[in-house]
Amino acid sequence: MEVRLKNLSKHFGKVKAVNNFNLEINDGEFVALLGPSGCGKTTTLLMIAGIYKPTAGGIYFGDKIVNEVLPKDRKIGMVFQSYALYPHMTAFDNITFPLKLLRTPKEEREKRVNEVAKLVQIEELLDRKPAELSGGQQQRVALCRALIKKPDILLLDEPLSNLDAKLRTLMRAELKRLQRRLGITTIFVTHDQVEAMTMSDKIALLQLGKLQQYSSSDELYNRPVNLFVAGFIGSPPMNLIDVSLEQEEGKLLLKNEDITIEIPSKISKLIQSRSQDNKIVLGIRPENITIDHKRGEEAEVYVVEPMGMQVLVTVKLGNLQIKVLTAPPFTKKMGEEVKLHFNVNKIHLFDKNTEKSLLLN
Amino acid sequence: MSDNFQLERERSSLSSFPDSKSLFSKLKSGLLPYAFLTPTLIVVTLFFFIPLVMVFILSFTNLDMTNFGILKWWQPANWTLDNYVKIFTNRFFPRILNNTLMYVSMTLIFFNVGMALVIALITTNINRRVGFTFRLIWLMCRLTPVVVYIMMWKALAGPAPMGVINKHILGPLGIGTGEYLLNTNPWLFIILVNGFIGASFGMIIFSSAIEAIPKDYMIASKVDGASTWQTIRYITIPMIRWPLLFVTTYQTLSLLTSFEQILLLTNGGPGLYETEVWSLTAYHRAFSSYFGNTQWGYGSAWAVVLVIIGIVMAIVYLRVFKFNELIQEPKIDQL
Repeated sequence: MEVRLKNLSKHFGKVKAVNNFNLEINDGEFVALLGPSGCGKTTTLLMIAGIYKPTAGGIYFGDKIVNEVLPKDRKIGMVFQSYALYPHMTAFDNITFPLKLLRTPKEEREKRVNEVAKLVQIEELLDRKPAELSGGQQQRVALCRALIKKPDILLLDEPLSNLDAKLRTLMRAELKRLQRRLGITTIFVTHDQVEAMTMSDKIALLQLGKLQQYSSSDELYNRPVNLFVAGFIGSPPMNLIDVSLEQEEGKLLLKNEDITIEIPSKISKLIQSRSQDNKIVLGIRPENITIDHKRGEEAEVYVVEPMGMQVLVTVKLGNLQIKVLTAPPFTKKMGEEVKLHFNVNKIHLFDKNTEKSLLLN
Repeated sequence: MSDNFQLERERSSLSSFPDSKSLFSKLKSGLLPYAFLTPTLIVVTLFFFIPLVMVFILSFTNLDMTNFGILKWWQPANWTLDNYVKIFTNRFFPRILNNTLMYVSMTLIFFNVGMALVIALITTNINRRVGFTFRLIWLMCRLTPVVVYIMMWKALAGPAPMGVINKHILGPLGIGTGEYLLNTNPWLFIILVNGFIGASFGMIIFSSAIEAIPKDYMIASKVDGASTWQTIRYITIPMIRWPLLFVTTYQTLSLLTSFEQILLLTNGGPGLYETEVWSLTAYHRAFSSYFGNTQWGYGSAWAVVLVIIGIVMAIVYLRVFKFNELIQEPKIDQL
């Protein structure tokens, strides 16, 4: 089932929780609504579920507008962060609750439970109450309850947040496989960019109720359209440095009192035409800076954080703190001098005022 | 071995150098909880436990106004079961029992639990502020002093042209003859009067219990396809089972023992024993006989039977609501 949000808005009093949100989700796609807390992602999900009524705009399932359709008639399944399993019912009763409401015959109910329970391997837990289940098991039961109606759309509200780190990694992969196998259009709310990037086909990144960028995780990471996206996506985050655009001896330079970088000639024309007042934010990811011993900008090691596969080094360049990812072993100590080499082909440039990318259309 | 040795050493050190400070603090920490309990224990003993034992003993005697100061009621030689025989052979006994059952069950079902639950469900499902205001207004009848409250009802029920109901509702509609409504429909008014107060208690307990249910459950049941009524039946009610048990049990017991509204409203009338309930009988026998002969022993016996009925009811409720199942099984952690 395709889902389209058209100019969707939701206001709570004066607060614009969701503001003019447009989104198109194709049939069978796995889409993440990503953003910091309070960005409107859960509000959007609850509007799609039919719990909240939009203040303005429309929600379309296929070609049908569903603004006025009751949750029970929307053919959706939902999994909550708290799982919301009814504590007075066994896992079996929890899972079959939607069928019970539809007055499905008992044999049919049992057959369907066994089908979905098999999918997530909880067949032997069906007679337990939620309180007797661990977090991971509860989550599987909640997933079964969402799937048993054979919904057209699966809504997941931070389903992995309450699991411990190891289990979360496991469930991430399982959920992704399950979604692919069943081919259900899935909308997934998370504040965790790793979850969003690893699991979904497309990510809608929101801030303060507004859509910032809607694209694949690759695109989001490599071609951020504005400063917010650039700063939000990536861990450790992108280095963002205030610079001004200056022209010297025919070369275009990005300069502040600590740093001078020459813009590659292929983008210099573009930048010159687009930048309005020469105030620019230079963005460069930690992995696109190399620590060189021979040439480059001189900097001082501020702190070294080994992470196993890589070493995160924070260096001080004048007043700037810059994060650099480098391969181990890294032998320099705090306070020692290193030279930095910026890979200028991988830089991102944003207009300081509009915060929009100067490199993308 | 080493443990024994250590113990031995501690013991010897204790006996040879009695550490007064640690002994004192031990004593203090041991007695402290009891010190905090003492005031309550004194009050409960003085005003509840001793009277209870006295009532129990009195119920086996024929202590009344005529032999007060003469009868040695505390002597077992003066104890008989006569009072209990008198209760169960009293010709008004079936009527009083019937009155009590009707009064308790009707008020409980329609108001103290029923109406309370309905109000709680409605006021928690509408605008928060409106719901809160409505509950506040409903509390007014509990806040009003009981004598004033009963006087208001008497004024409402009064005969035409004084009574509000007769004059402004029944009269214009042409119903009734304008009689004193407490004489024509005493039970209706007794149940209404008690129910309006009684419902406010359950209303407060239920609405706070309903508001304490995490919103996710409500959203989940809506997504699962439940209508409002189905959500109430399958999710809300089971989740407030504990407050339901509490209110039902508590209100049954308090209705069984409450008589002040009836005393003020009809005093058991208008007909002979027409609205006389069990606790009112106990009061009447013990404190206000027609002939000025207050039968304390006989009244106590009525009270003791009422206490036994109350205990039996409480046990029945605990069984019916399957109290054991309200306690959750421990979690079995896996995966």
